[in-house]
Amino acid sequence: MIKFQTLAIIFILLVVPISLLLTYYINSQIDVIATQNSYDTKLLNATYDAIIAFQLNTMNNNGYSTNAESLRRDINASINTFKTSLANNFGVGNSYMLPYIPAMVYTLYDGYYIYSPIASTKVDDTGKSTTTFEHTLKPYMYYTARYYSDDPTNKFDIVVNYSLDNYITVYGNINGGYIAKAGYLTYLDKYEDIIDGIIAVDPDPSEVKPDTPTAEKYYKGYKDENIADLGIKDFSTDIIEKLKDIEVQDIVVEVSDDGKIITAKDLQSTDTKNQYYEFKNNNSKIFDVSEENDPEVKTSTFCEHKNSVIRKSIESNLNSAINNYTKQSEGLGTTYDFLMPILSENEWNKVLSNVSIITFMQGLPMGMKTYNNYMIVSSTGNRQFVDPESLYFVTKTADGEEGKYYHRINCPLLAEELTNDNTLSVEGYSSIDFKGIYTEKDEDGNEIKDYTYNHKSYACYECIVSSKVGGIVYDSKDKDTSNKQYYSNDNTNLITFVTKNNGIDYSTYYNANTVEKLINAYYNALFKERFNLVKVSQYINGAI
Amino acid sequence: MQDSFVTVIAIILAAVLMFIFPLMSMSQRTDDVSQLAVQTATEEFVIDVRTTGKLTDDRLDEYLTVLYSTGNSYDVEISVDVLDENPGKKTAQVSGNKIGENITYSIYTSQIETNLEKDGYLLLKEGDNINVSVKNTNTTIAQMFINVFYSITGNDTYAIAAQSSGIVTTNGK
Repeated sequence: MIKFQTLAIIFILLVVPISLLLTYYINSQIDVIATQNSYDTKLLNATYDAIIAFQLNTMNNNGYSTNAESLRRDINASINTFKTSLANNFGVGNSYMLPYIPAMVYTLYDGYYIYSPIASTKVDDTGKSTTTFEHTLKPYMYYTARYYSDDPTNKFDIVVNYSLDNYITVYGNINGGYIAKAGYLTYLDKYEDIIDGIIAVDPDPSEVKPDTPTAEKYYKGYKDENIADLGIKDFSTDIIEKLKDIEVQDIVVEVSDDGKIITAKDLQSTDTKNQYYEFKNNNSKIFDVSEENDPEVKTSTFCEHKNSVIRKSIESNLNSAINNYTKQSEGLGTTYDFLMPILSENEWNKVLSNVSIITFMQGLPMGMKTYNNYMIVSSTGNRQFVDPESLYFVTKTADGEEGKYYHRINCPLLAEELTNDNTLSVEGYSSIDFKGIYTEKDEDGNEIKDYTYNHKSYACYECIVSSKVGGIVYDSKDKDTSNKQYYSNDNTNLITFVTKNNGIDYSTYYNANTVEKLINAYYNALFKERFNLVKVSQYINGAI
Repeated sequence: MQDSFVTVIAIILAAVLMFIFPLMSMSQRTDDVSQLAVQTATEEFVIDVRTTGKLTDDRLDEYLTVLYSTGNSYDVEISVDVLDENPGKKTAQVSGNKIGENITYSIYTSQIETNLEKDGYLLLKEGDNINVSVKNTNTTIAQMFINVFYSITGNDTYAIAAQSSGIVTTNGK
């Protein structure tokens, strides 16, 4: 019979190694998680540095950056910032990190750049070829979809370039005629009343400079030999009539061996070999604009379709870039199988709502595991996209003196200021116009080395510093209705004024006069900023 | 007599080795696994807030659910350093060589919770800073053993803790 002591010794011999192994394994897992967290933070910080660099570099591009290629310099500078920041965070040289970066994506207003490694073959004088792999910024890719129909009653073959908002560029043949047009596709009825109101408060037209268009010019059409016709009324009336019958259908596109389309209708991939099959709103007329299909409302058929086109385009090109790198990655010293991760719906929403950078880092050894993650950072201040949430407003006296604080359009304190003094007007600007500009020399060449401000007002503590008021569009998700109340202008569905905040009732400040001033200021600012926006796609195929 | 003494010692030793040691070891591993979960959840939560600029009660509930699924109770401290650039703007206008002296003011867990109860979300802006610190408040089995052997006293001893912080990268909407 085995003695009790013997049993104990056997037990110990079994348990102690298991326990020690378990301890080692779990501790190493904790180390891996700690390392992963540290890498996540480093990647996020480097991506944030990249977007800051992009914002700084593109801040003063307005006016001359009229083609996509001119942005390349700024994007390359931003990429350099990312690489340097990442390398500094890791304490290594720039080149050490490069093999682990399968791709970076800059999603801009009407297209995107992909930065990824490609193979390049060089032939020397002796005829010997060598293949090297270098990270390269690929050409600008537009958010594009092709629509085709050979129906004799409605024959067309057009390409539509989309953007982050409702700006589109259309070119191709419709019923035998060639069109090339660019503009904001808009549900016009909702602007009729508003525009009349805005015109009533416009300043003397003789004082309006050509580069600061009024809402009226923006809406009805503004023609100048140097500036495109961006009138949304002319554009929308024309283009809706031409495109309203186009349907997005879930059909199979077949392509013959010679590349000729043998069965195709309406929407197709631009390369005619793939089919867009992920659209939710099949069999719907995406350009048939109405109150239900308002291109400025995110849930409209147009927007869902547009977002699908953008998403599909980025996904397929990014996937291709990362897969190609996997085949060639040995050239950069890694054998990791790079794969494109699946981005969540929330992350796509982030990408589709502003200029963003997506950075991928994969294959970095991390103890027992290999690092594989990505970061998305959206820009908050740039001149590439006009986000209605990034328009700030300040009151002005008749002498042009600005109020002490600038606000969001829906801030109740702004309404309070306006109502308390009827003589005040209100004007809106992009949020970045309120930032300081570091100036080294004045116009005469004298040294300044100081921060100067276009607007000397301070940020409102209620709506900007503390963000308590919230965004300008609400979907009634507030729990405590006694805490907040809203006033919505039914015509626009774009602004929701906060009439009660933190339990304080501001509703008396929202009289008809104040609301009119606010709405006018909002649309004037929005239209002015949109007008001044550089839209690369407007120059495609003579669309301007 | 001698044999009996040895047997008693052997039984005590065996009891320690067969029951107490495995229990101690397993309880410590349990704490380690909890540490792993808490650390990961905290980091993910902070990165989420940093990149969206928004702290919602749904996301906070999700985070707390992960924490409590480890079987322990936790003290979660969240603070937000709200960036105020206004003083910097003032300073820069009067002093040529000085970069703006931005300041921050902090809001803490109870204020954040009040805000979440009222609105369901807390919006942050680019430049704000979020800090999350979590530690267990119950006494885990591993802690009990440690207290027995090392006689650790005081209320601030904890076995599971995680901390994460960072600058918010975008304006919340």
